Amino acid sequence: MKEKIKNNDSFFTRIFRSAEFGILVPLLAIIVVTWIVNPTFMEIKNFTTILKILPFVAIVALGESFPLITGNVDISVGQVAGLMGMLFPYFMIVQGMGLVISIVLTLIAGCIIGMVNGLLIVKLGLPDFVATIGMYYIAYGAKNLLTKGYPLSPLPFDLGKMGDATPLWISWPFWIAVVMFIVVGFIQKKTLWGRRLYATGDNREVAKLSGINADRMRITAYIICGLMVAIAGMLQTIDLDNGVPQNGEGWEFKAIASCAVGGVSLMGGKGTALGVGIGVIIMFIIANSLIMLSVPAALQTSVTGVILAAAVMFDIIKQKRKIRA
Amino acid sequence: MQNEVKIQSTLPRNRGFVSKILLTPEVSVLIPLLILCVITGILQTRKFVNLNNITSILRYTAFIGTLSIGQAMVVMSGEIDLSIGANAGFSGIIFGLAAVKWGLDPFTSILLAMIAGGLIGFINGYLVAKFGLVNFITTLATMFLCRGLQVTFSNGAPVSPLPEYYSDFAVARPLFNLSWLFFIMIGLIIIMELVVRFTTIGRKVQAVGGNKEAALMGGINVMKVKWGAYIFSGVMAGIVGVMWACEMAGAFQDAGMGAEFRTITACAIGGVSLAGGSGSILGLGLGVLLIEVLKNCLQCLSVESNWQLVFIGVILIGAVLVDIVRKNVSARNV
Repeated sequence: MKEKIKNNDSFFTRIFRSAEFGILVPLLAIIVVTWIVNPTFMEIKNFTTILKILPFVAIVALGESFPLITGNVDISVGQVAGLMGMLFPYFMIVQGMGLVISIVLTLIAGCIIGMVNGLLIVKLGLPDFVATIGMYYIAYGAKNLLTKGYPLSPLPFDLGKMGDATPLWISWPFWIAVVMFIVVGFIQKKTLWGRRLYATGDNREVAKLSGINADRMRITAYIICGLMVAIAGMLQTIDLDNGVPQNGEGWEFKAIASCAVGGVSLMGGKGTALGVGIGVIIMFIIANSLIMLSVPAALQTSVTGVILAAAVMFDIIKQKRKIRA
Repeated sequence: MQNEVKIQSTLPRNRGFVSKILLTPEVSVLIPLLILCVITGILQTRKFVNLNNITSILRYTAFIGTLSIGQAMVVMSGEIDLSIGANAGFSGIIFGLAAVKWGLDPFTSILLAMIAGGLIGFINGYLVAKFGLVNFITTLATMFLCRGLQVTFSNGAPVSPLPEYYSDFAVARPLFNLSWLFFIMIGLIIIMELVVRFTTIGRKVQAVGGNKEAALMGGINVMKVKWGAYIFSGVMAGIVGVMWACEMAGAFQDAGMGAEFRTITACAIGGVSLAGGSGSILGLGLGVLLIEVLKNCLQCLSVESNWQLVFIGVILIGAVLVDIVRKNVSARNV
């Protein structure tokens, strides 16, 4: 029914109503203004720089979107990413393990952390906030305990070279992120599992009544989140050629803000990989354009907050209008 | 006969004194607190059990304690305030500017800080309670906003030195080597505990947090209550901003970093339900104390400082788990 009504609208109405439109208008406005004030903004080099620094938070945001879609939140992602970014070189340098084994072990560790979060929240009934703040503190302490706060470098197996490489003008982490976004987008849109994910977040009771194992979906969402966070942490370490304990600090808020800007509802049941990608790009482009406009560094944080609030408000207004229409 | 049995099962069972005590909300904080104190007291008697150490722990609770009261009221009304730490930092800077740059008298400076904090709370309340934005995102946005304003207004440097009477006030030890700031917190805890327990305002906040629909049908203006809770938490943030500035003899551009998590942790450990609707301010105070005692114990036992974080995480999860078990038991038995 819904599809039919949508198809009757003109092309422009459909674009206007798409979930991502609300954020594209301010983005375009900012790009144009910045371009006029500072033409170097539009240089290709500037954009490749932006694309090189954003995949790490982007992958974390993609992972975060899974719990968010099922109606839960994960505060621990930033610190867990930092922990995984330390664990990976720890396995290789301190324990002297092979590359593949280290990667696999780190991925497993990420999954386990995600599973612990999921079990605490779904099976034991802890509020998602409490359980993941607990995990936040545990990961925060653990990542510093691993090496007593010292960084781990240089990475063996020529991983540093991989971080410096520029395949197709950008970087390996960027292309890995792109592939992950495409795969996740496909799974969410086209598979039965993806439909079930949205159903779980939209209305848990209805989902349960229609035979979906909602508990398992929610735990799985946390496990996927942990997995992606582990990937992001490893890529950041490879990119820096250095395991730095400070990595990942504040990523949880960046990731959640990107998700919200990209149209992932914090109430659950809504959001796409494409939206998350656009949200992340917007956050980074705005940060970059503020630098290009020579806005004082301190105000940039404030502007981020205002844009976040504005994006979400715009989304709500648009939804209200949609219901009326 | 059947009826009689049913009636009996709904009546409160006559419990013994011990199990009654075990089922009060504050106990799940008090027990780990006592265990910690006893273990550390035995292992490191000289370091831990001396007046200086104990009073320094207590003095330290003043800041997060006061801030957590604001957070607790918001949490009880079923929302959350992530902006509280940044807000405290921001209002602290406003206070610093008023006291140092603009040369205002203490009363006006402190009032300005409280108004600045209250204003942020007002914005939060407007967006969440009136406009219907998600609390998490809204307060995250105001957190970013405050952080930016905090650094902008302070030009990235501490606003100092404050006039001497502020630091004199913070350093003064009116009773038992404790500071005025500590007694302010105690006063606020007592007042708010009474408000939550015995006044209609407290009942309303808990009703709104417990069941919004029911509260609405019961004739409570849900929007006003939530809005009020946010403004209250903003004003508390303003007070804490002033406290920090007094303690450190200057308003710092990075004050309040990470305080949002610490207040939420204190609430959760202290038995303020994050789902909203219930909690005691007394328990909250004990929760704050537990965190500080834990840190101090680990220091006394010369455990590496990063273990503190791990332990706080574990205790947070453990305390809330115990709380859930306690609620299940008391629900089954009553």
